[in-house]
Amino acid sequence: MTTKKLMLTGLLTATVFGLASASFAAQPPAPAAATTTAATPTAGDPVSADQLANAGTDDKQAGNWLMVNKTYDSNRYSSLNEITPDNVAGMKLAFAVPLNGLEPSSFGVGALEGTVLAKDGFLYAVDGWGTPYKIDATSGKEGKIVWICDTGITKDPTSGLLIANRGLALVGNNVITNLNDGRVVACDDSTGQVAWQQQITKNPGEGFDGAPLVADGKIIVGQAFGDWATRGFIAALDAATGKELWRFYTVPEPGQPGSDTWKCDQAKNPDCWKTGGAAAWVTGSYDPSTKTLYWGTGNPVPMFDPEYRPGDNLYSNSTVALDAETGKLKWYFQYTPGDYHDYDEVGSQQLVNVKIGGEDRKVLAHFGRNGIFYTLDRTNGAFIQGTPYVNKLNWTKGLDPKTGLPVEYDPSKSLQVYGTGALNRAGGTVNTCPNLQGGINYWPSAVDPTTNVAYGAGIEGCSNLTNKTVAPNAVKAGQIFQGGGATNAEPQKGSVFSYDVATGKQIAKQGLPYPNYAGVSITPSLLFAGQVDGTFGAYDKKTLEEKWSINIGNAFEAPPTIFAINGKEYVAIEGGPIGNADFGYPELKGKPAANMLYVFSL
Amino acid sequence: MNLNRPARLAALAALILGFAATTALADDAAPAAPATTAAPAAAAAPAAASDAGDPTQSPAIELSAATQPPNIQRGKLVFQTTANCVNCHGWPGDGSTGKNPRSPGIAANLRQSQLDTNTMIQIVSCGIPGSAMPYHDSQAYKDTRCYGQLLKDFAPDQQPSPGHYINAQDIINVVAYVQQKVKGRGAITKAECEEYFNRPGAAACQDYQ
Repeated sequence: MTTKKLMLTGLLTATVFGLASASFAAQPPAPAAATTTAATPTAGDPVSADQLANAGTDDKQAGNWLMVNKTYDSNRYSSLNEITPDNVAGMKLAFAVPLNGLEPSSFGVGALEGTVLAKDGFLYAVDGWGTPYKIDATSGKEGKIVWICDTGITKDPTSGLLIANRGLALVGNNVITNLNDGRVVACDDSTGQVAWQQQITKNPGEGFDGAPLVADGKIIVGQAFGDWATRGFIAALDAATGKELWRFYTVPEPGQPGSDTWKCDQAKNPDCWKTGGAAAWVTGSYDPSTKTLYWGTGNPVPMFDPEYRPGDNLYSNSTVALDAETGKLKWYFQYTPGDYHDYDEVGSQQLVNVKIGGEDRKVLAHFGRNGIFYTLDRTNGAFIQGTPYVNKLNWTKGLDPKTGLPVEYDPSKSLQVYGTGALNRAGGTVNTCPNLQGGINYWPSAVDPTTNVAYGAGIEGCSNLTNKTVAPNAVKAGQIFQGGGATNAEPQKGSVFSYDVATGKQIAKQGLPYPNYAGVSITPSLLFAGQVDGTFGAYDKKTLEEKWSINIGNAFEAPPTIFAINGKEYVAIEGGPIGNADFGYPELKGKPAANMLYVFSL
Repeated sequence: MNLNRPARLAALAALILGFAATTALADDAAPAAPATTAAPAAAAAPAAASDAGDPTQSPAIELSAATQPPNIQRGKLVFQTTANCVNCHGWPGDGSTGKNPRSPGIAANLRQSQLDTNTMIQIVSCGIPGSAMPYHDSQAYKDTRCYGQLLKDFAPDQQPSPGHYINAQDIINVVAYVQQKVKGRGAITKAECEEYFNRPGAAACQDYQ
């Protein structure tokens, strides 16, 4: 592409998205120039609102993956069907690209959890520090790094945060990343240089690690570090400048609706809500027809010490529906009130239009970390149905068919006692199933929009939880704050499964030798997933039997991306360190790792 | 460097005496906490080790395996990276501050530890079966060096779990670090934190006085 055309494209982008030429918002630290390693950067066309809205239905987007969960309804479904159960035996590694970002935090190496984006043969990958990489994959034979955007992140080895980032967003001619230091940064797609940056968080410990979502001309981000003694929020930024437009706190302050569910005075700890967590650390969904955002929220903090924060703790462990224009709460559904099992519900919020009992319903389907597959009416948050999807579930005897709340839930109590028994300062151990990591945790599930069948993969097993009281004056923002601990009750297994959204009934399920910690993506005939032991596999979508796999050594904690180059189907996935996801298997523990992007094809 | 026998004995004596003499040997600053009192080896043996007899009789790592004087600075590196003790014990060793959020989170508070050097060497080497504390001696439970037991002696869900393997010298080094720089410490201070991270103004230290 010529310089002239590049300039024209830039001009067009500036016009369409109202980018003033001096839109560099002055924020520390000053970014350096991008590392440009390819001779001819290619700009491509700007990503438009229409392209994002039609990402799942426009044939022109069939070979692309423009946002973290592919579509606004988070279906992670690609219509590409070149690779099928009949020919997948011929699948092979097409090429691989090493990534940076193994620098440690204070407690060890981080994780690769990001979804790769794909646009017109170019890939957009992210490492654990949120650094974006643009990769030229147009040859189908090699991934050439076009640029690595220098966001100016301090790879601080004293950081007590979990070093992980779950993906990028594309808008106009910018690639958006949000960082664990609380900045949101736009990198110019043509040059890889920082176009603008904004410091969104203001308090110690706050930051981002879920992928941003571009919706309604805004960039939606979620404060991710609830377990580090902070207060969660979801914020909308102007897509052109990054200027904050609204913010919704997932923990209300005293006097706001819901604040009476934080009985901090009862704990003689009036500020307990300020460190209440409910972090929004995974990307939600968006319904453009009603301009509604659907976001999952994290556990109340500290996770294992409910006596520190008595009450139901709204809006922790919830789905919140927000008006995209104003950030006002439309409704919420809290899955596990007053939780002490770490069952936060940040996982995929899948928007499905489905016939239930002969009636057309707009539903939100969600594989809860608490082991239950839920469907809600997404117009008002009303509970429709819930089905356990894990083999063993003991924390509740069931859900109230009207409210969808666990039958043990007693609204008159400030400390709930679920089927596992109380976890409290008196001591003892609570054995809870599923594992505190799920079920399904941050890693995404998928829905086939042609059949309305939901697909997921997760953990089968149980955890032992203990309480360890922390004095309020020992709680420091930015330091991990859990109020106890957890171990695997036994070596954990995994499974891959499919459920009919209309009925909540299981269609297929297969056991996996290790817990799945990475999530799934689907095509008309296959499900792709990586496993913690380094297996990348293709599974027949009907039976979920493994049809093909390869072991590449690195652990997979990130989900696949399905895309096309000149009509040929490829699957991209990041693999790297296993961290603590060995689940007690000696052969997985502490394995050496390299941060890599793998691309497979026939 | 290979030490001659008298030097090794001096190193051994230093270990048994709670590292009273190690500041001269290690290239580290003077300990912040008073040197630990020499305690009889078996006095504070943990429950898991209680039936193992006198740990000095059959420790996983013989103290005489220390071919070099214990090196506290090296032990800190082992704590931070090689053995990744910090993953569960946290940087100050209290079992919660600065640990990996996805770690079990039930690690012992080493600051309040009563364990003497020999017992701590045994636990680092052999882990604590039935708990999340892993073993770090690559040969543990392959022979009977740990509590006289082999891996097959344990029920599948009670098997001790392996940690990052470290050599005998580094087990002694990391125990020297814990005994000297962690055990007996009171409230976390900014000075301690900045010394740990070797960086004035470290992010992890901003809230401490």
